[in-house]
Amino acid sequence: MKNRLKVLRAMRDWSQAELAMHLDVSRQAVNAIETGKHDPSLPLAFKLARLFEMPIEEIFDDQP
Amino acid sequence: MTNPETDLKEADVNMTSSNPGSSKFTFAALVFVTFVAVIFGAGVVAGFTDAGGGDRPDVLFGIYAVWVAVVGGLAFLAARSWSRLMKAPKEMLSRSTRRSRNVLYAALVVSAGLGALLSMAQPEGTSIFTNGPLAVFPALVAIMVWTVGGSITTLMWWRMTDEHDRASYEAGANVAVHAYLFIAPSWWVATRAGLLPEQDPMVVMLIVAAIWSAVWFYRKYL
Repeated sequence: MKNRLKVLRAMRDWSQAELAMHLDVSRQAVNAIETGKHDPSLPLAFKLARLFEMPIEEIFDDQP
Repeated sequence: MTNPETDLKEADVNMTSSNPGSSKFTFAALVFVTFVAVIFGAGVVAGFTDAGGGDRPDVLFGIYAVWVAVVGGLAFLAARSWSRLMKAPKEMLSRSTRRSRNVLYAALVVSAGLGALLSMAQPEGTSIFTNGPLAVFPALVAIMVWTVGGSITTLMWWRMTDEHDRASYEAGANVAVHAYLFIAPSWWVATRAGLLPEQDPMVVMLIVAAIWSAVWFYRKYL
């Protein structure tokens, strides 16, 4: 699934490790989500939405 | 006015905190090689003694000297690597990652200890890969550690690690179970046809575990 995580993270000047700390996941998990290799669960998607203060639809795009 | 979404440079986006992963790998590799050298040296000494080498104390002393020098050298390098690792900037880890890694390290240490115990508890001498008889007490300890300790450790790790790690582990399990479904019956049929020797469950288990680990590693890190 496409997403804007990489851009949103960079706008806050966070490294992948820093974002991983906020989400309580590994840096590899953040990398996998950013590159579209792993689709996050609903709880993790909501966590991301709360962290970036925007709706899930503005972070993730399910359109091909 | 700039647009942050288009002006971001790839270098900015890909930045990560300092990652001492290679140092950790070096240290882990040195510990592993030291452990193998200890076991291998014990095997050489046991084999030499069994072959009547006890009559040549000068040669036995030489073997001991080389063994101690190699293991000592490797242990020194491992200690130096550990020292450098401790001085390096700490890798930023989330709580779940740190806890799951600690469980993994503990499991590796216990597994290595278990392997050393089994390799030394054989009446016929030190060896890692054998189906030879074992002394009863070390066998019972190994069974208890593996069944009780192994299942508790796995459950702890499963509850602590993050969803991406769990997904990688599940993908590995899926492929590994299918590999088992293909390997075990094929070997059984091949044995009945006289094409292969009797099936060794430990060899099958090692193949399945290797496939499981390879898929997990690929999904998690690559």
